[in-house]
Amino acid sequence: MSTSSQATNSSRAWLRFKRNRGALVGLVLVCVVALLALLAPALAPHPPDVPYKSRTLTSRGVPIGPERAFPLGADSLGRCELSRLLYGGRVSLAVALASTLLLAIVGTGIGIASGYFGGLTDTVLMRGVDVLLSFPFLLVCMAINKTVARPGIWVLFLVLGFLSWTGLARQVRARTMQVRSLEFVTAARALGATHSRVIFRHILPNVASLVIVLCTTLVAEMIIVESVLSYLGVGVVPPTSSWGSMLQESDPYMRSVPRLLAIPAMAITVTVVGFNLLGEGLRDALDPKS
Amino acid sequence: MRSILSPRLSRWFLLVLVFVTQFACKEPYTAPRFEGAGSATPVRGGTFRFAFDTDLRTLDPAQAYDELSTAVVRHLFDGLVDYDPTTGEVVPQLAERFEQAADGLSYTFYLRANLRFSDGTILDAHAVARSLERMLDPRKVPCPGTSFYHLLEGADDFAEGRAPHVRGIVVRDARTLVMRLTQRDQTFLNAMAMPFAAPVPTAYAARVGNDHFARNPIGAGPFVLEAWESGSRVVLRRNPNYWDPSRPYLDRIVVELSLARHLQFMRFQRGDMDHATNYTLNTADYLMMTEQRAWRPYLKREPDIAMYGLSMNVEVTPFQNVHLRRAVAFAIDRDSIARSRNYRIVPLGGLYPPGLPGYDAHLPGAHTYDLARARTEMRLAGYPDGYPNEIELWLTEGDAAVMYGQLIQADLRRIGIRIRLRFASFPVYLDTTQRRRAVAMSFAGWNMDFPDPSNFIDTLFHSRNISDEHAQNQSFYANPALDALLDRARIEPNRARRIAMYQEAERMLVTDAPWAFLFASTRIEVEQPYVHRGASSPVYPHEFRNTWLDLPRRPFTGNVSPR
Amino acid sequence: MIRYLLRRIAAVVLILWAVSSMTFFVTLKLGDPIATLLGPRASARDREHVRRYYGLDQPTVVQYGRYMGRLVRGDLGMSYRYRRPVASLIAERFPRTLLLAVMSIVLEVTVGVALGALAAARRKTKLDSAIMAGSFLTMSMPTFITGKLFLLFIAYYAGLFPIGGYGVTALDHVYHAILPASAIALLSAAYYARLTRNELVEILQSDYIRTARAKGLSEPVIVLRHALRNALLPIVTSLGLSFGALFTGAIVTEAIFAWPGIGRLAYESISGLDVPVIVGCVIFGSVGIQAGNLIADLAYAFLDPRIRHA
Repeated sequence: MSTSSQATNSSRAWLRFKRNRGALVGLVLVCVVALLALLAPALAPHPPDVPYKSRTLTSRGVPIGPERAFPLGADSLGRCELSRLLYGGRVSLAVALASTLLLAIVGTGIGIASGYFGGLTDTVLMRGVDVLLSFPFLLVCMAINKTVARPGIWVLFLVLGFLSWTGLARQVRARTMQVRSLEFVTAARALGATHSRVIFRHILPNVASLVIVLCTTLVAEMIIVESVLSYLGVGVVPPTSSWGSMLQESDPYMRSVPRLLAIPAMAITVTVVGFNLLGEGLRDALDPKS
Repeated sequence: MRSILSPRLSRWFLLVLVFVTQFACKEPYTAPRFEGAGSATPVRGGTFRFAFDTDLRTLDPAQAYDELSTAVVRHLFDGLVDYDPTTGEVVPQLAERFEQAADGLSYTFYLRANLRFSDGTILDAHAVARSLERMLDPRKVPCPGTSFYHLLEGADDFAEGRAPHVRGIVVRDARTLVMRLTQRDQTFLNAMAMPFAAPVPTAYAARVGNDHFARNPIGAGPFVLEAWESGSRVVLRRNPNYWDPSRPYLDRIVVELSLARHLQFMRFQRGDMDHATNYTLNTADYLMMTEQRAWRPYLKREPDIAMYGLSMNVEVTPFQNVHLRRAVAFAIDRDSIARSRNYRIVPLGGLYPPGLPGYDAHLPGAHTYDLARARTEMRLAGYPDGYPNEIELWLTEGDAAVMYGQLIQADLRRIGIRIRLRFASFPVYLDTTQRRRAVAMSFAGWNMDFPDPSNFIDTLFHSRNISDEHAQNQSFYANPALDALLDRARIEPNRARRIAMYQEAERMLVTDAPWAFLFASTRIEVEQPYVHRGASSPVYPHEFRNTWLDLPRRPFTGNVSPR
Repeated sequence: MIRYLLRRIAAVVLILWAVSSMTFFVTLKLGDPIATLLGPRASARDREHVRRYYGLDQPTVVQYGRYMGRLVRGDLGMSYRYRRPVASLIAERFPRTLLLAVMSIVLEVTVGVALGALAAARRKTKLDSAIMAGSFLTMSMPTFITGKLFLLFIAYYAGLFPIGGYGVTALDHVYHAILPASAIALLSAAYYARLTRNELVEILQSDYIRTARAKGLSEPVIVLRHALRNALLPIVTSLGLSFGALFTGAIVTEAIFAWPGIGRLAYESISGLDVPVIVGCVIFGSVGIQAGNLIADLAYAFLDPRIRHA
């Protein structure tokens, strides 16, 4: 008996170690990508939107391959592929992070309000969530991006942020309802604590870990959605690059210059893997319940 | 939950990478797969396959104005007249002959005997008159081209519902039709050669409904519609009752719809398609084709009568300033834009593209890339240090426009003009750029309706085409001297003198620079070795009524010489 | 049960009303059919007639009333680009999207559950780790990247499948659907593999499995007969949810593989500003999502005896 429990304990420890390693790798990946994006102006060898046509396109208009001045070669317009990748990462990451932040605030707020107050508030808010959830997400994103007079990063950020908080809100609501019925919360209420005090002192700290975990994976999702929208041509406006728009531009060159497809595809995949690993690690560490 | 990340993962990555690069280096189809049997005379039969990257909207000739609809409609419907493939002149088609009255105000068309629509309905002068009226009647069909026929006497009264028929369309007898104009117009025959004017069985259209007709068309062309699977493909079958028994050679034409260009081209290389054009060939694909020796003989290029430029709204700040307009015109490095398109476009300094009557290869004052001159003009304009505000450049969506927009933006930055790109879908683009004082600068182009300079210059620069909304003259350039010249040219019967007048008008435009003229496009086509394209229309490039397949096709050896 | 169903349906109707109204007002100013239909050269008179044909000369309130009135009768209006009823455009394309959806669901469930079960049966072996690592990586790969890679390598270089499109005969349709369906399925299959494995691992440690083991049943029998059934519950739920999304969610895949389904229709109508079609697709999509939710709930209730009796 004792030996077997020791075995499970040690195997659990071993598991936790392994978990941390995944999270650690995720963290490193995320940090590296974030740093590269943040330092893009310093790291990029060229401005991202200047076509160096005479140097980077052959006489027949083929983008050159990697060389010293253009470490990843040139894109179809003769711009530095590395610089576009770095600046594009900036855009992709910024949009993903900002919209996740926005959706976290909206989703947490609505989830807590709904779960804590219950009753009519809950019904109204949750019906709102139902309505929003029954919109075909991608289609609506595209349609909204079309209606605005000046599409671009800002619109993208707002659309993504305001349309994708529903899942988070539902989970936060469920967790809030659990926490609300716990003894120490009912006790606090009985002792005359105000709603805002209860929410900020007791509820919020208890849902925070859940929100952080969910948001980490949501960043990954936002990166994908942003790239999908840019790929479909309703995302960022040229000459701004994002990983999705780079993928779109690579379409015609799929076979002749596969590098143009592979580079942004790898960037997206690596970043998404990073955020997913990190999210999973955080879940194990912070929120083992879920 | 357990997550695994170990050296194994990175090895996996590496494996994928190697796999990808390994494959990407091997191009499986570097030569055509099939060639013809070597027949010297046209062979009948076979199915001809090509594709478009857009979807087919309509098959009603009165409604077809986009590239694809027009292309398919031209196989299903014949007109009274058409273009001669070699000379480009308007020649009889369903009409046996036609003549213009001495005063130039009326045309008489004599129809061939025993014409029938593909369903057996009689096609006589009455049928032609009724179908012209159907096209001109806004209550029946939304026709995009009624303006080409507004000079027909009584067309207006008819469209407004004030007259039951168009006065100027007179049926003299079953085979003779007279059309009277209110003014002389040297382009009326061109208008009659457009698919809008093609005869349709109006009784049938009325019976099934005009909207329904657009999906179940019946015409008098060399083919009939066999199937239309929406969004997927259209199949045309030979019309057994076609008036010209020698045509068509093909049994069937299959058009795949909404197929992205790079997919089309992969199919073409694999031998699943018979024909590829600009609409198929991406930059990259074109390059591949030119690099592959076996393919090269089958690649053809000829001028495409279309031009592109930057339209600057002369009513809007800052482009009231002619020097600023000229600065833009001389700041754009056309050759290097052409290079990034592998010279599938050619730099153009004026309005008329090569191939259009009136094109002048040595146009005095033509717009070119001359940075020093552009900077001088900036100084003369009063902006030696650049124009202080950002200017919004409107473009339609699409890969090519995205590319051009970014290159133009980079070029103009060098003379101190900052551009913000604004991509809009075609309807919004038209709506906005054609509204008065709405847009300062737009990237625009013109694809001919028919090969006559008036179709370019009257449309885009005559002050008649300025209005508060839907102004065709989107630079809002109004010049009485130019208007007068164009009005005289329009009715001038002497062709040489007429062309000279249009050339003079072009020189005025180059000097005043309401547009920066940028480039003309070329048409690139490649066919499988067993395809004999035959004489093709000079105006409607996607036409295969004279095309035949050298069947049976055999594995490619390269021995059967290309044409 | 019936009362529950009625309440659900009432909620669905309300939601659909909200969705269609919001879509109507958002897209109201999106596009005008005139340029789409008539091109650049149309005369003022022709423009006016087109506006009247589509009822755009009416005030917004009247337009909204008419739109709602038609909607109740199942009429989604007329497309600008095709000048045909939107409902028939959607009806034409729905079977194609359905084929893709069904094929991808079949693929993702069979592959996902099989891999998950395999990993659970061989848990804590190299195979388990490999499956889990592979599925993790796959889950991080956007469908449109996998789709492009499939197209390039499997269809073009290897020449095993058609290069996009839909085909002619029924069998041909299935053949054409395999690659896009796999591209869609890959991500979900990975997700289901992980879900199945984790559920199974938990269940395999539960008491009744221990009993089964004590009875001397072999491991495969235990996994397949006893454990898997219970592990499928969460999969059923998420299937219902994803099924609704597949109604319109295949936009990217349909674009990459030139699959002429509803996603493609929606995409093209957005770039061509064909407002009635956009609105129609949004409404159709949300009907799909609602239907998916309902099916998921019902299936869950059916599979889980605790809910049925409650």
